[in-house]
Amino acid sequence: MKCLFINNNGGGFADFIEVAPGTTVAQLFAQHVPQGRPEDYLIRVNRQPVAADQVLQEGDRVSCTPTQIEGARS
Amino acid sequence: MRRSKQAALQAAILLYERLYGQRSSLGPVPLPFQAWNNIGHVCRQIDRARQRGWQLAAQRLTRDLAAVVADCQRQLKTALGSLEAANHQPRRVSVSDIYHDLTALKGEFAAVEIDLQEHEILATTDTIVLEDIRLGPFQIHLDWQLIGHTGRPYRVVALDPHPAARSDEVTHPHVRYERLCEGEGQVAIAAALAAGRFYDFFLLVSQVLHTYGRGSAYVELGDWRSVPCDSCGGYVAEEERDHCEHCGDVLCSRCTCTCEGCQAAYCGGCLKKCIVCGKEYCPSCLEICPACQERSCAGCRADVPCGPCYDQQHEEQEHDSSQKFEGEALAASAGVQPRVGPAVQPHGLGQAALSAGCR
Repeated sequence: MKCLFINNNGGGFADFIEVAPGTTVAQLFAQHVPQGRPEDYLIRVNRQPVAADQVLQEGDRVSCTPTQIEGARS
Repeated sequence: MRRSKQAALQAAILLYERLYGQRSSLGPVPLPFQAWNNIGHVCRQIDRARQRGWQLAAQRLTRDLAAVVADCQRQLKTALGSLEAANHQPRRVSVSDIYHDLTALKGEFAAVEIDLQEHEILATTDTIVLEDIRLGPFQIHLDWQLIGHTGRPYRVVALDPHPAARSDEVTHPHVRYERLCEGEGQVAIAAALAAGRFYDFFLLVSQVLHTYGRGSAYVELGDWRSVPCDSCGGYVAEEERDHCEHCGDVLCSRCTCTCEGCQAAYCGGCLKKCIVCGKEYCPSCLEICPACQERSCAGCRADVPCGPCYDQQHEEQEHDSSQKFEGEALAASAGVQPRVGPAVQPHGLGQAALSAGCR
C-alpha cells in the first residue's frame, strides 16, 4: 500500500512511499529516519498525534518534524 | 465553528489559486518545426539535383542535410528535457489538502485565525520560555498573496514582547524586526511553502521559535538582560550593573567609582579630585573655594578658604605684619605717626557654599 511520508528534517522530503501492510508508525519511523529518536520528532498521522503502535492505512499522511530546529541570526 | 470552517475552505481555495493559478504546469516547449521544414527543403533540392544529373551538387546538399538533421535532433533533445522537467514537478496538493492543513492547525496552536480581507493566516504559539527567559507568545502571519514573490511571505510578531534589554527589535534570539532567521529550518520551510504544505510550514516555524541556537542568535540568552555600560561599552548583566548617583549612567563593576566622602557609586566623569589631598569625591562632597575657585573636600577645608589659599593668606598677613612693624619702628625713630592701613579681611568672609556642577 502507499502512504505519503513527509520528513521535515534537513531539506525536507515529501513523497508517496510503498509501505507493507501492518506496518506501525514506529516501524515506519525506524525505517525512514534510522538516525533519529522518535522523542525528538513531532510525529503525526493525518495531522494528528498518534500512538507509536498505530498501524498505518492506505493513503495515510505521515509527517515527522524535528522538535528542535536551530535558527540563526541573518 | 461552521463559520470558521467556511473561512478555512475559502482560504484553501484562495491558497490553491495562489499556488497554481499563476503557474502553468507546462510552459511553451520549443518544438523544432522550422528545423523539420529545413530537412524537407534540403531533401527536395537533393531530388531535383539528382533528376538533373548534378551529382556534385547532390553530394554537397547531402552534407547540408546531415547538418540540418543534427540541428533538428539537438532541438528535439532540448524539447524532451523541458517535457521531462515539467513531468517531475513536486506533488501537487489539492484544495482538500490545504483545507485539512488549515483546520488541523487548531490542534497545534493556541489560536488560529483566517483573515480573508487581509489574506492572512495567523497562528499563535503558546508562551515561549527558553532557558528560563520568558519571551511570550508569538503570532505567525502568513500573507498568501506574497507566496511566490521574492521576499518572505510571513512575519513573526511578539504578542507580549519581552525583547532583549539592548534592542527592542530583537523579540526572540532568532527574530529581529519580526523576521525569523530560519537557520537549520530554512530549506524545509521553503519546501513546505512551495509545495503548499501549510500545516508543515506553521509547525516548522513554531519549532524554530521553540529552539535556541546558542552561538547563532541576534542576542544570546545569556546576555538577554544585559545592557551596555555607558562608560566602557561592554555589556553588563542586570544583577551586576550599577548606576551613577549623579548622572544615572549604567556602569559595570570595572567602571564604578566610589566617592571617598559618601561612599556612593559614581561614574569616573562625575567624580572630581580634591585640590588639596588629590582624592576623588562626588559633587556633593566638594566645595568650591571662593578665593581660587578650586574644589576641596571637607577634610581639607577645616580652615577656609581652602588649604593653599589659607596658607597663602596667612603668609601674606605675616608679611604685612612684619612690614607694619618695620614701618612703626622707622616712624618712631623719625617721630612720625604711622599710617594705619585697611583691616585685613577676616577669615570666612564670603565663603558661602556653592554647588559644583558635573558634566
